[in-house]
Order: sequence, then structure tokens, then C-alpha cells
Amino acid sequence: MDILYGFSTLFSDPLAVLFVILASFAGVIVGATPGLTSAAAIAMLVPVTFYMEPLHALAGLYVIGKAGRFGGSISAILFNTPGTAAAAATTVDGNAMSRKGMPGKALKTAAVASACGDLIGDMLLIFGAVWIAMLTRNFGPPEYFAVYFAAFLVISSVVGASIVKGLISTAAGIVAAMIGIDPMEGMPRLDFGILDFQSGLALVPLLIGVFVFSEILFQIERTIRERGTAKVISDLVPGGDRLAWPEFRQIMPVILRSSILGSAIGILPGLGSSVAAFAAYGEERRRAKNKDEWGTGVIAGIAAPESANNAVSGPSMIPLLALGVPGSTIAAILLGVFLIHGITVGPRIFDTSRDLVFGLFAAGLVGIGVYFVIGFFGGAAIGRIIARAPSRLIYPYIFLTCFISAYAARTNVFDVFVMCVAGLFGYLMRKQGYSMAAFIIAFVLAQGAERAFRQSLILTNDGWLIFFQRPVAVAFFALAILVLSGQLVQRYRIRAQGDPS
Amino acid sequence: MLKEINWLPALAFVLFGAVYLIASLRIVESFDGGYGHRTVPLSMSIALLILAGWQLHRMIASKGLAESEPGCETIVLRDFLYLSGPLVLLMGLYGVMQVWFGYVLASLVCGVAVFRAFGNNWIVSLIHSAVGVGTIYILFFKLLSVYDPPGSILELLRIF
Repeated sequence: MDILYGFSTLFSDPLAVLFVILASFAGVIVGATPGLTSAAAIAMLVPVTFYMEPLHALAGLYVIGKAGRFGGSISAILFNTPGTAAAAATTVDGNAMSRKGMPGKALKTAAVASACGDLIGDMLLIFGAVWIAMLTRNFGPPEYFAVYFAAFLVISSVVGASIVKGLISTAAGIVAAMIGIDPMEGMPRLDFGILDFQSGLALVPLLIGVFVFSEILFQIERTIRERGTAKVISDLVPGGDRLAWPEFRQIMPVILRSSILGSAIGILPGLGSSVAAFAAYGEERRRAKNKDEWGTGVIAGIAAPESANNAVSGPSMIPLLALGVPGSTIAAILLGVFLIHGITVGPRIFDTSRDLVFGLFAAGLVGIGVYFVIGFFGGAAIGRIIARAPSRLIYPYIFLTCFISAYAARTNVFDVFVMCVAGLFGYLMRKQGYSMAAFIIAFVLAQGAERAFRQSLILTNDGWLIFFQRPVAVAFFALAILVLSGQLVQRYRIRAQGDPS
Repeated sequence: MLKEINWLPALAFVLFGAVYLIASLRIVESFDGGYGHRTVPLSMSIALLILAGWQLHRMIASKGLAESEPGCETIVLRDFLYLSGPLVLLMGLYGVMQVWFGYVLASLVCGVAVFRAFGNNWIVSLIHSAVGVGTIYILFFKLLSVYDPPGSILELLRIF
């Protein structure tokens, strides 16, 4: 029972527990703030983690991601504005229930469903990651290249407004990662003779640029367009905030099914929480006897998306820990943090950094408990505070934090410029449905993919044939092409039916 | 009607791909006949150029594909100029001020500009900017010991 070892690692370090508690609060608040995502908050905090112990840093960031996924439901339920994209499906029945005068019940349902979903997802992570890592332990460069290739194609084809846009975002991320010193020969390339380019583009300014700075630009644009727009918050009705035991029993099967669906989606790279939430909502609505009532404030309509979107959290770490390939934006950022602290991520991490990994798993479980308590008892209060906080003051403060976070990563003003340019690019990309997640994941993976590709070709005289002589590599290539073809056929069918949405 | 420039991201990717294709072509391989440090940048910049070029062509041919694809918003030229123009100025200002006057003054001036952009009055902007910069200064430069480069002009004044 390695997880017990993880708990002992975590609880023997009071500061780590404190960081987990603080991260739970921060994650819920960030998630509940419309426009701010947990990925953005994590990106801004990465430079701070340079100065922290690896467990403190990773546990804090990992728990912010978990709590942020739940936090998104608070603003979805109370203001009809999902704090995160993953909470968009919760808006339908969550806000409808809130408008009926039962926002407390909706928030408690979201808290219970999120915590249960997260718990089931984490169980899969704790027991599944070790098992998958044992299988992938004998992978060589050709297999790794096939995994990277599959990750690039799968992520490109499932995120973004179209497959072409997904592929463009991925290709741009790879090209951006090629700037600087070549990882194998140590030769400078694509630097245009500029000294700052020789050390390559840093991950932190890029992350802050595309996720946070682009959001500030969006908010400035919104401020110019709609000055003085007020938010509306529903008032709690006495007695309407109780989640009764029979109601809990009624939603338990929904939570269980949606959590399994969310966990399965979480393992696949790129799909993420929002896909899981909408898939679970659609599936439970299809199964429901009272289909017509869905959308009017049905309790299962909150439980299904919330449990599914949080169930993604744990399994999305499996590709990262078992293969060193992040399946989500947050996992990509965590990979950066692992590397900053000198920890190599891959199947051997369970041998080399066992205490850290299981400490991280334990932190995740403690974080679930903490955000559940915060959400169950304080969700409405947090919602009210956020509704009153003026965005005209919040975003400039975030702007100032962006500048220092980008600078602090390498104490280089050049990185501040990189962040601004990335922010402008991110703004344009978001406007036209290009995937920032695909861009960042490709940027993070590109050097590893290039290394695996070139090492594979050094291993043989058969050239490219080496990729087709290894059955595992062939399986991953086939999987990638299958997913891409499936997506192409699906999108063609949708277009043929004349329904672009 | 406001001028729409939905093709701008596709054009930006075409230019990005083209610039890096030229730069990749100029990379000299350290050995002949193998897959060296030019292979991946060259192939990916070609892929980017082809994909972005195709996307740009589709957009021009269909006169604005934005409405037909989910998750897309219109890019209005005026809004983009309102954002990018001041941002470029701000970047230049920040860069120059950081080098000449150091972090505190550079961030204070840029902070006031951003608070103003969000519709706050001058006094609120100045007060909040000072509070924000002060807090960040204590957290990052004093507690976390991030290197705070002294501005060259301030340094010069200190010498005299």
C-alpha cells in the first residue's frame, strides 16, 4: 500500500499540508472567478515554486488544478457564467436550480459530485499509473517517438475549432520549441543571431502569455465594449440549500457512471474536463426517464458534469507519470515543474522519486477533502465575494503579477517581451478557435519527441523502417491515425448535416 | 460596418512558418546524410506553412469562415488596433524603463496605464499600482530574493 507511505510523507511535513490547504482555497477562488482558469493561476505561480521544496511546489499546483475544476461550478451555478470551460455544462441545470431559489442545494450537489468524481479518478491514478509504468518500462526511443506522435495527432484532432487549426497550433508549438540549443548536438539554431534566443523560449513566459495575458486583453476589450455591466447573484432561500439523503442516494449511480466516463476520458491526451462534462451530461440525459425536465434544475444535471469533469484530474496525470507525456495543460505545466526541480518524469519515477510521487497522490486526496469542505459549507459565500470584487481592479493586479512572474523565471526582461507577444498571439488564437492547449503541450513535448526521433534513427541502418519493426510503436501510430480519421469522418458528417455547432 | 480581420491569425502563422522555414534552410548540418538538428525544424516549418496557408486560403475563399466554426469570435480591426497599439507601446516603455530606472518605476508606470485602461480614475490607478508594485517587490525581491537589476540611470545618479 504505497499510498499509505505517501500519506506518511505528506503528514511528516506540516508545511506541505499547509500548502495543500492554501492551494485548495486558492483553487476554488480562482476557478470561481470568471475568465481565470486554474491553468492560468498555476502558470503565474510556477516562478514562486522555484524557491520551494519539490513536494510543496507540486502538491500546491496539483491541488489548485483540482480545486479550480470544482470552483468553476460556483460561478456557473450562481451567475450563469462558468468560471472554467469545464463548468459550462453545469450552467444548464445548476443555474436553473439557483434561479428556482435553491442555489445552496446546487452548490452542495456540485461539491459532493466533484469530490466523488475526483476520488474515483485519483483511485485510477494511484493504482493505474504504477501498472502502466511497469508496462512502459521497456520502451525504447522508437516507442517513445510513436507515443509523442500519437499525442500530437490526438491532441490536434480533438481540441480547437477544427482539425486544421489543432494541427496548426501543434506545429507552431513544435517550431517555437526548436529555437535555441539543439538538445542532442548542442548546436544553436533558429536564433537569428540574438543572444536571448540562444537559450530558447522559456515555458513560463509562454504559459503566462497565452493563458493569462491573453485573458487580460480579452477583459480590456470587454471593458471598452461594456462599461458598467453589473453581475446578478441569486439570494439563498431558507430551506432551499439542503441536500437530503434520498436525493444523494438518487444521484449516486449518476456520479459513479459519470466518474468512470470522466476517468476514461482523462487518460486520453487532450480531451480534458469540458469534453468529459458534456459527454457525461449528454449520456445521463439520454438515460434519464424525465428527459424533458433536464435544463430546468434537475439535480442529476449538476451531478453528472461535475463528477465527470473532476474525475479527469487524476487520470490525466497517468500519461505524464507513466510515459512522461502530459495529457493536459496542467500536466504540461507540472512536467515543467518536475524538470525545474531536476526530476526526470517517466516510468522510472516510481523507483527514483517514490516518496515524492506518492506524497503527491496523498496531497491530491487531502486536497479533495479540503475543497469539498470549502465548497459544501462556503461555496455561496465565496460566490458572493467574487460577485462583489470589481474586475476593473482584479485584472490590473493580475497584469502586474504577470510581469514579475515572467521576469522572475530567468530574471530576464526579454521574457517579459516574450510574454506580451505570446499574449497577443494567444488573444488572436482564442478569437479564432486555435488551441492554446495544443500549442503549449506541443511546445513542452517537442524536444523529447525530437530526441526520441533522432535516437531511433541512430539505432538502425534501416532508416524510418525502425518505427514499423516495433509492434508497440506500430500500435501507437495506428491509434493516432484511427483517432484522426474518426474525427475527420465525424466532422464531415456534422458538416453534411448542416449543423456546425 | 466594422472591418473584420478573422484571417489575421492564419496570416500570422503563415509568416511564422515562412520565417522559420528560411531560418531552417540556413541551418548547416554537422554531418552528411543523416537526420541532424535541421530535420525537425525544417519539416515542421514546412508543415506549418502548408497548413496555415491552406487555412488562410479557405478563409479568403469563403469570405470569413468564423461564423461557421464553433468557438470562434470575430476579430474587429479597430478593437485589435486599440489593444495591440498600446500594448506595443507599453512593452517598449517597460523595456526602456526597466533598463534605465529598474523594476519599481517601470512597473509603477505600466501599472497605472493598465489600471486606467480598465476604466479607473488617475488617483485609484496610482494608489492601486503603488500597492501592487510594493507587495510584489516585497514578495519577489525581498522574500524570494529574485535579482532586482538596478536601473542604469539610477545607478549613475547613485555614483554622483
